[in-house]
Amino acid sequence: MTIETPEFQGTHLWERLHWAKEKLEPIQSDYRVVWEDPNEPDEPAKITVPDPNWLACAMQGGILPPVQSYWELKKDEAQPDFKKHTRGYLLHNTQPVDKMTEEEAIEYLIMKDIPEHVWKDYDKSNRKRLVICKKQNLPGHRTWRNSWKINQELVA
Amino acid sequence: MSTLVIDTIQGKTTAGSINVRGEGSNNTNLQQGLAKAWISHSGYNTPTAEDSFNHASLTDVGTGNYKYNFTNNFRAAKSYTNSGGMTHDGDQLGTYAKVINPINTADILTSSVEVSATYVGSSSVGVYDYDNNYHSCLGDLA
Repeated sequence: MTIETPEFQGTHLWERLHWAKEKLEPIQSDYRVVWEDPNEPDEPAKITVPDPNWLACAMQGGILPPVQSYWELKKDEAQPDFKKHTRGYLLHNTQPVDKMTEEEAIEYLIMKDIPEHVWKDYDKSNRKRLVICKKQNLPGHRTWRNSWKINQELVA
Repeated sequence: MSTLVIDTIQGKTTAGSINVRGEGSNNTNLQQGLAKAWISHSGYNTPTAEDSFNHASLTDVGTGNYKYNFTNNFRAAKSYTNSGGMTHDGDQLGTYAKVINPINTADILTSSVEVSATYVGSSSVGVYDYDNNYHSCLGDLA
C-alpha cells in the first residue's frame, strides 16, 4: 500500500518524525560507511550506519530537509560566539527533499553526518579515507576494534 | 470515565507549552519533560539501531564508543541531558555499574553526541562493547 506524505513544509521536523514513526516501516540497510579522519591519524576507522527509521523517511520523501540546512546550522555552531540556534526554521520551513533511493540516502547521510574534510574529494587522495560497503564486507567480530583501519589494498 | 480523542494539544497562552497539574500545587511542563531523542542499539559486530527516535545514523567510533547523529538538532550544545546504560545477554557483568554518557563536553554538539559505554567495578573501570545499549536525551530542539 502506498502511503502519501502530507505537505510538510512549515511543519516542525520533530512532528514529521512522529508521523513517520507511526506510518512507516523501518528499513535496515546493508550499507555501511567506513571512514578515517585525516586529522586524527591515530584513531581507528569509524563506521557510520544509517538509522532504520531515518532511512524510511529518506526513501518515503517529503519529510527530511535538504542537507544544506544542516550545513548552515553547522556553520552557525562553528562561530566562536555561538550560544544557541536561531535558524532552526531551516529544518522546518525549507522544502523537504523528494524520495531517495537507498544509495542516494547514503550519499545524503555522508554529507550530513561525516565531516566535510573527510568526504570532500575523498576519491582523489592517495590514501582511501572513505569506503561505502556492505555489512558482510566488515569483520563479524570486535577483536582489536581500536586498531581497525581501511585496508588500502582491498579498496585500491 | 471520559476519553479524549484528539490529534493535537496546543497551549493557549504559548502554543508550545502545556502544563500538567502534578502533585499538590506542582505543575509539570509537558514539552520539557519529553525525551527528544532515544535509541536502543546492539554493540556487537557493527552496532545497529534496534529502534530509535530522532536519530539519523549511528557511528561506531571504537570499542564501546558511539556517536549518535540526530535528525532534528538540539537548540544549544552542551545544554541537553544524556543518560543511558547497557546490558549483556546473560548479564555476565551484572556486578558492575554501567553507564552510557559523553566523556567530553566538547562532544555534546547540537547535531550529535559522542558517548562511551563505561563499566565501573570495585577495582576496575573501562569501556566495553555490550550486547544491548540504550540512550536518551532531554532538552530543547532547534
